[in-house]
Amino acid sequence: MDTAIFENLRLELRRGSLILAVLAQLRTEHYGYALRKALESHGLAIDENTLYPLLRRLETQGLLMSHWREEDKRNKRFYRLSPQGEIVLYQLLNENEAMHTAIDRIMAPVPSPQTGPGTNPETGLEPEVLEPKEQLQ
Amino acid sequence: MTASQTQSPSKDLVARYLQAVGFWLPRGQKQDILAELSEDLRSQIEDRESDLGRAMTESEVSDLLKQRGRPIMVAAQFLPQRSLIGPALYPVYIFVLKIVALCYVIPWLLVWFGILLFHRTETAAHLSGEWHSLGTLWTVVFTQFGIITLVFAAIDRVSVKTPCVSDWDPRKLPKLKVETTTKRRVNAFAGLIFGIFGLLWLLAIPNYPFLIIGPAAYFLKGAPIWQTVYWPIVVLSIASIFEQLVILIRPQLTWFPPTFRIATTLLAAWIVNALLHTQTYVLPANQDVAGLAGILNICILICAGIWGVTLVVGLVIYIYKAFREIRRTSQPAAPHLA
Repeated sequence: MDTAIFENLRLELRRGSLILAVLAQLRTEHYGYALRKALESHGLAIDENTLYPLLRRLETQGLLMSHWREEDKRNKRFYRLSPQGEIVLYQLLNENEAMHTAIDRIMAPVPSPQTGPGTNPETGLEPEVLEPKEQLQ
Repeated sequence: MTASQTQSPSKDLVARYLQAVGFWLPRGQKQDILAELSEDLRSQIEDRESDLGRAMTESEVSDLLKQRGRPIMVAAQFLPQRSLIGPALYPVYIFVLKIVALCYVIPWLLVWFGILLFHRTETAAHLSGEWHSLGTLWTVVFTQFGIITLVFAAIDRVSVKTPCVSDWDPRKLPKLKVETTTKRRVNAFAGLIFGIFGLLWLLAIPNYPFLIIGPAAYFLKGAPIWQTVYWPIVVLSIASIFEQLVILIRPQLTWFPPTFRIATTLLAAWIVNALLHTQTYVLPANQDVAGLAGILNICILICAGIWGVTLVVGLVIYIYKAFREIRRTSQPAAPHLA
């Protein structure tokens, strides 16, 4: 049950990040399989059933451009970021940065200015504030 | 010799897989998507064969395809997301279905059950007729639900293009409902006063029948059925006064009124049942007013029928409210909005 909840939340979290990763990777031209391998080499595995529909959606939205070209005697569809895609990518990167900064601030332990009755004497923290590791557990 | 017989079993498997995916794809994009998927599969197989240092077997290719998923699921990823009713309208759709269920299906079922219970028909023909009427209910219910679904699907298609979805004014929202204990007490006090007057009026009727039928009391008299139902009606009236008193003293017992009304509604249902079985409520003092008595009897019968239907609807509402209040009071209190 818990695993299923985690899996759903993980997929939800991944969805936005994958778009960002694909847009960022396509600053240089790639065909589908090469893009998958490139993302995988950076530690972001993406299955083909997610990648190809995503590429088509991003192209329909005008964020990517594509064309068929022969390479190694085989026809391959190459994608790259469109000018509009570049603008959106940097906007999304800023948004992502802001989000991470906010989360870092939220997760940072808040030291109590005064040691109140509910303060943990070992950590010096208010009872509701946990260390990041404790929260993850 | 067919095309599949000329190529290796692995290639044949891939071609069959792509054909199966293509079956579900939109015609306009089919070739393009299949060409790209084919290229991806080919690259992956080549990579794997390069790692293995040999050609992949049919079984290995089969595993790889299985890992990619069923053809219909793969194709579905390329199709636009389709839902009959979108998330914006879905709560309204469910709300309408609940109203239909509450105002039509549940009363119908209760009436049907009541008829089954009170008539106690044991002949096969009667039972068959009642089961047939239940079958008719389901047909009507499914038709109603189907029509509602279609109407909402149509509204969903249209509303996406209309500005009414985003054009709304928060200032036009209904006022906050805050039912305070004071308000409950005021209502209970008013109910108590009216209840006492009602009881006095009821107790006076046997001696002063003109209080209920006016001047007609001189030439019409009550049928024996009133002797049967009079005291239950008085008990009902006293119960109503008791309920108002409890609310006045303990307005915070929100579960009490609906729970108590379930019992009083059942008593009222017994009275209605007795009235519906009689059909003679007033008797003429002489033959000259027999026609008038007949009309009055029909009017009272219709009123009893309407009362019966409202009791059934009321019973459903009280059961729902009692269940909701009991569940609410058993949970920790939520903070008030205002």
